[in-house]
Amino acid sequence: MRCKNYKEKIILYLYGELDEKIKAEVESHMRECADCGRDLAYTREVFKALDESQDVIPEASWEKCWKEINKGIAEEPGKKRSFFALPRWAYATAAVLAIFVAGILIGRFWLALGGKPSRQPVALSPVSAASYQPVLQNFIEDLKPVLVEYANYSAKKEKEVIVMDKEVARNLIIQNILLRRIVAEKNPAALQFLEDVDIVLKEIANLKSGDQQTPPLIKELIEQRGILFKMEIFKKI
Amino acid sequence: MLNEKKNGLCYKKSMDELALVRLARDGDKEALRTLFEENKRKIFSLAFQYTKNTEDAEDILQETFIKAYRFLDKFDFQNGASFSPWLYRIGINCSIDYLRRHKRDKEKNLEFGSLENVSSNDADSNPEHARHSKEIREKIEHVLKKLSGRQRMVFILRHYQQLSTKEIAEYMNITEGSVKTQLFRAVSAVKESLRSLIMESDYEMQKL
Repeated sequence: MRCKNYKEKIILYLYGELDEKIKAEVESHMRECADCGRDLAYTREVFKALDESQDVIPEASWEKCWKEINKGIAEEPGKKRSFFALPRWAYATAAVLAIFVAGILIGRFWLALGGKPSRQPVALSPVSAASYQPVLQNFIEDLKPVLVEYANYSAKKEKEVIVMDKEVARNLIIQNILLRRIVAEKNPAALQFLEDVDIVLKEIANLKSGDQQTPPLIKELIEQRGILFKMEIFKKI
Repeated sequence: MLNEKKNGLCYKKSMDELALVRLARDGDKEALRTLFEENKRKIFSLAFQYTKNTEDAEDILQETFIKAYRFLDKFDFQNGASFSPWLYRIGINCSIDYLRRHKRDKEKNLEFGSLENVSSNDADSNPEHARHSKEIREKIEHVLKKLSGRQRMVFILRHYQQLSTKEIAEYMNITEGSVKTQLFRAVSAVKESLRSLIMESDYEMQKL
């Protein structure tokens, strides 16, 4: 073994990491080679200096550390998850899907009922001819706010409200078609009223944003056909 | 013997470590605290010897425990693993990462591991010896700063923490040959830096 290799072994020798055979070889070489012997003695002295100048380990401020650890643990995402827990992206995806589905349901049922969720979907349900009166009353309740709004029309009406009315009017048109089929043979007067309402609703549904001419015509139509008056009559029947 | 806790809860000190880990994993904060308290001294001393700074060592201690908590679910009960070495391994990695992250900032502001705040063993009444010892410590700190994080860690683990090269290899997940090479380079650098302070006459006549 060359001196260079012994220099590497000297460190392990002083740390007591050599097996007996190599240890004996190192000791033998140290006795024979003055240069390596000096290196061994110097390394031993360095180790002694390292030990003597070793720093006193201070005490950690444990309570302060524990406080910070608790804070860190509280901020840890997803820790202590239950067995069926999912990663955060899964929850985010689920939330987006839930909002999407809720949007569809609201669009289908809530708006279909003219913005009154507590009510049954009148026009979409099969209704017998004998029970048309409650259905008609429900329809009138949905219809009334829209028609009253146009009966009280002024030029200051906001465009956004008109857009909202268009959506409601479309849904009321569908309800009106089904209701007319039901009342056709039972109550001709109601049928006439519903046809008049149908004309008004179609005008509202076809309104264009910024149109200032049609709303006064709708107002006139409501007044001419006495729709508000008839509406009150059929509501009380 | 009972290990009293401030909130009245207590655990037997001799309680099986793995049982504590299981409790901690199920969200028992006192079990977690007990586990950490039993290991804090060892992790802190390693971090302090590595950084030579109390605040940095406390930061490493906190990072180590937070990381350990995060990975508690991954602690392997099945293969007879022991918690303390597992935690110690996290402490080693956190120390190396911490130094890597903060070295540049420290170099800009304060010297990493400034000796100003560190006291040594040499409560020496002889002013000459005290000055000599201080010089040696400064030289050692200076040369350790120049080592890579891994070399520095290998040296700390072997010389101050008194782990064998085989144990260091296991903790640092490197080969024993690599540990010996890094140790040789680190010790050689320390030897070289102290050459002017340790007189040849001090060791020339020594025998095996």
